[in-house]
Amino acid sequence: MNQIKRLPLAVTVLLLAFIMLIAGCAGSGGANGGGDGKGSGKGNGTASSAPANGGNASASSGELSGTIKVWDWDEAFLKKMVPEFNKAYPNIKVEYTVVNNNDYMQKIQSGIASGSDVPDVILGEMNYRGQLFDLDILDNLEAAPYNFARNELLDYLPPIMFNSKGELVGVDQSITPAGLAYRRDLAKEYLGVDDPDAVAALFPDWNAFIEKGQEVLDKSGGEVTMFASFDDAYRILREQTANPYVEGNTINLTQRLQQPLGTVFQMRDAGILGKYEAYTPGWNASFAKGDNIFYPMAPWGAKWNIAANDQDGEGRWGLIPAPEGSYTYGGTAIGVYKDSKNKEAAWAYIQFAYMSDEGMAVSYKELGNMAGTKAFFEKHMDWIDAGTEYDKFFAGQNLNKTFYEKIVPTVKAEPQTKYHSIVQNAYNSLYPLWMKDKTIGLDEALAKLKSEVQNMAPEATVN
Amino acid sequence: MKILKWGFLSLITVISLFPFYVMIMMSTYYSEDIFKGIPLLPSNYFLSNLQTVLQTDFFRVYANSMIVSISAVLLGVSTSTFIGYAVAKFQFKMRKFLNYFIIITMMVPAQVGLIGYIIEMRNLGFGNTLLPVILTWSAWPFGAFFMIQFVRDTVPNEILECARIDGASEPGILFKIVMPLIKPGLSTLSMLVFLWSWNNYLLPLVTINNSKWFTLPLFVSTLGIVHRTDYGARMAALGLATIPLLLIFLLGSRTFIKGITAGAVKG
Repeated sequence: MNQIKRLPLAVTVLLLAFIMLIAGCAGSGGANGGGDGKGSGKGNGTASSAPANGGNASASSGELSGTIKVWDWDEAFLKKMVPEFNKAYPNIKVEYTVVNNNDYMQKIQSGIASGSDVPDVILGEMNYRGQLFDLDILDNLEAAPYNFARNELLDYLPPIMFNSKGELVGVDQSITPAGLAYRRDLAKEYLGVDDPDAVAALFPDWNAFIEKGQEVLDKSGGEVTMFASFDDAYRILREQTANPYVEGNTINLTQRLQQPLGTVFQMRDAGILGKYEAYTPGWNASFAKGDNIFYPMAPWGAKWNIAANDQDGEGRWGLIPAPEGSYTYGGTAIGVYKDSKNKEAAWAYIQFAYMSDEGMAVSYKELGNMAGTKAFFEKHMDWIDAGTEYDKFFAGQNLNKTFYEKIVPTVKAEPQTKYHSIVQNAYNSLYPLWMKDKTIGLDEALAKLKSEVQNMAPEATVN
Repeated sequence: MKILKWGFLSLITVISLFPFYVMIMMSTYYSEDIFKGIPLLPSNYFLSNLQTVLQTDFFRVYANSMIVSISAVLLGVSTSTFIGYAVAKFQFKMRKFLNYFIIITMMVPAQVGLIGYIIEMRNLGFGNTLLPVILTWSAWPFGAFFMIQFVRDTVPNEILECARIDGASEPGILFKIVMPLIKPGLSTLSMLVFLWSWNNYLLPLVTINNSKWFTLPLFVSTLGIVHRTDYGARMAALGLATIPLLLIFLLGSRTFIKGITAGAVKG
């Protein structure tokens, strides 16, 4: 009995020992963490940033100082750009973290919810951009201290940089107007021509595209299709018919998607869409395999889709605008965190890395990024005329020139809301079935999509 | 009958080892070539993939993961053992409640407490260190539950009483008598903590914002991610990441299996 009474004491002693142990850890942890518990506010927690941020930022360049945090997935870009940036702004320290774009929103949200780290420079990839903008954590770049103007951007860009209040909250990382990449060898064999202008002339509209597609299908004995995936066609048709369809909590899905989705179903029924789901290994391999003629392509696609998937494809590809107009494909908006302690420095970084002459000299020439500003194209047409290393995959066709002169003028884009991500997620879960089961028609598919969206967004009215 | 038995066993072995084999084979391919067929034979890209991995801070990441997992084992197993021993072998107020409380907390998914945990860690000043990823194992309901059951089943009260009569101190009883008896349990638990903390993704993802402190799963997820996923390099990194787990399992497999089956048959 005696021992049993003594027990709580033993437990208490152990507990105390543990508390001391943890307190010990706290001591050393605190030293590492640089006293971020001192209430220096939201967002800035690490040792180096808290003291350095202390109000010595000034508006004139060169004198700006402090530490900014950047979360980005493109480490190659950061490794090139940050040292360049520091040549111009030696007193701004850029602390970057490589974050997978699939995890970006989750990290931002838990950072905000817990009051811990949130970066000063925030990237909004197209997949989650609406969600990010609707969190209302990005600063209006047209207000002080940024004083940027929307008409400095290419004309199609502002709508996809607006939040639902109509504020401009981002600039483009690199423009992403898109057209169609095509296999020259297959075009020659099945369409009779392979020159970009001649191929483009074959397709004044999607009806012509579908008709030609059926001919190709017949000629090839059912082997060669126009697009590799249902999703490729949908992506193009949805974006080129861009039109705002979310008003507050109302999602006008039928009105928005009936026509583009209808055309995609027509293509499916005509048999001109391949069997792949987009961005699956099979889809990637299809570039080199040669069972599809066309792929959607934005400027980044030359490197990441064509060159990466078709290493031996030099001279094998061509680029044309899509029938019935251009669209945007992917892309990332760069914004500044509203509660950032160092907005001027963050903006200096954004301006330098994504818009300035010095920054773009590195970014364009070494990484192929094109700034989304009119000034960039006015000043640097000579860079664009010089071509890029990926032009060789396109038989010497000047890709960026084609993008700027033939594709950009007809690009359409719509403002993104959190419902855009939801609609996209719902679509992603449904389309694999639509492409396989041809008994599902447009109306049934739309009804299913609406009910799926409604499930994911119970508060919304889905029309 | 024997043939059937061995046939069945080898079939299961092949099925369970196949993914592992494919992972190693995939690490020898150029990423885009992996999916042209099932990669059964090695290709010639292993060194380049390895280079991609080693160009980064792979060894620091490895060390981080080691620090996290080893500390997690020490912390998780010791707290679990103390709790297990206390609840299983001593009578005190609220003992039953404690027992149920542990079971109830096991039912709460980790994700639910995540934000609260991050806030707690931030206020303790542990933001951007490895501590949040380690300390989470200090209150580990499964470990406590496992140890309660294990101590209850394997340590006879008579031994404890004998020790007390012979004048052993309470800590002495725990460390010299109970610990040796529950060795299989300790090694099973250690292996589980090691495995789980080694593979933990969500918690490091939301608590670690500095690549200096990245652990392996986080690191692998950021390898080659711009518009293209470098599966070859990722597989190479994963291959390297599984080595410690394999070693630990090989070294401890005997006690591990003992631990799993302990308590299964009781006379």
